[in-house]
Amino acid sequence: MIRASRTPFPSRSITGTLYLRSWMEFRVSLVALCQITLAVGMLGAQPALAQDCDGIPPPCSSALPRGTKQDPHFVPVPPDDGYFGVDRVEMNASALYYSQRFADLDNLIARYSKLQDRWDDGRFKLSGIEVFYNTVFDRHPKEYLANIER
Amino acid sequence: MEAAYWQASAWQARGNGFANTVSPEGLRLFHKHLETARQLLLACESYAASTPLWYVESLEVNLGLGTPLKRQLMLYDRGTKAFPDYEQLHFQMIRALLAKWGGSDEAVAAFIRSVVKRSAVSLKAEMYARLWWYVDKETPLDESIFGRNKASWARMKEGFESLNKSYPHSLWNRTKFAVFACQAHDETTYRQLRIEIGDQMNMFAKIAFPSNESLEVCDERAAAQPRSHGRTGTSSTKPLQQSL
Repeated sequence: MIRASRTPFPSRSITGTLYLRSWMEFRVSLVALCQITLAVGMLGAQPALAQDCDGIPPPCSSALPRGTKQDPHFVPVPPDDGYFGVDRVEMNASALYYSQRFADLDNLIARYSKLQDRWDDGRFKLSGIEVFYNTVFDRHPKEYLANIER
Repeated sequence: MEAAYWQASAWQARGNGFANTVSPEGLRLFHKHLETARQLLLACESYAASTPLWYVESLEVNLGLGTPLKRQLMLYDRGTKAFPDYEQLHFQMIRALLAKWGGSDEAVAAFIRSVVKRSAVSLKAEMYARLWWYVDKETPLDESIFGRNKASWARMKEGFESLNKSYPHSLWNRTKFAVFACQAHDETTYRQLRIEIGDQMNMFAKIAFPSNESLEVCDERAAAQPRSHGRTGTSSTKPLQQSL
């Protein structure tokens, strides 16, 4: 008998944070992306600062200034906390992959593998690379293997 | 990355259901692709094992292939010796010990005790909270992580308080703290966190709260129930609305 679990499907992924995402979580991720995009737009589409890119040459997904308030009801998106942080690492790694910046992707993974970069919640950013692995190969066909440099 | 590709292919062939839902062809392809991934991982070990990802991927592939627990533990030991701070290695080992993978609650609890025992004194409480947090993600909705042979709410609470001190900017950690306080029926702690976080909790609420104990349900529970400290006792009757 299949029972509902907190992870809606039996987790197949490799980490605690990296379980197979439910539709709801995927949707929330999209919402997060929209929020970040929207918030960046509200801030005048600031280009990503080099410091946001964890040592990789920009462009990358920009981190928002912390504590920014555009109006009394504006709640700043926490870009490096919880799922928002995971999404940002995943987006950046995916962007490097699809734009065939493999050397930069290698460098990003090597940097995160030193276990010096954490999100606001204390988890290592390296686990976002595991999410990237899962999503990039879950969504795309075998031809993408051709992009892998051995 | 290629190993990750084959691992993803294996799970696509198998599907994400329990074993009794998998077709014979799917199971055959699952093992075939995982074996390819395993061979690739072995071939690149000399240079790829310099990243914790190699160990995590290897443990994942071995789990799918049904590698004996003893060998899994040996690989895990190597990984944690090389990368003692990388929690994902503990998480992956916990997976292998879950009942759905042939383990038991007792095995999970014993493993968590051993990890916490090995952790630095300053990190023991945080590690305890993180590991049971992971177990919770893998736990069916109709079960709780609290109870006999399971997690102690008092220790989880201590761990989250430590996490909040270590990572004061994290709304995610505090939201999950509130989720566990709700599950443990510690209304006092839940109320305090709810007041502290306020509407910002909505940001993570849909992801952080389980579907059968939503933010609304937890608010309702805290409003209706007398103040209590979970399994530790004391109570009063001030409703949540007044607190907020």
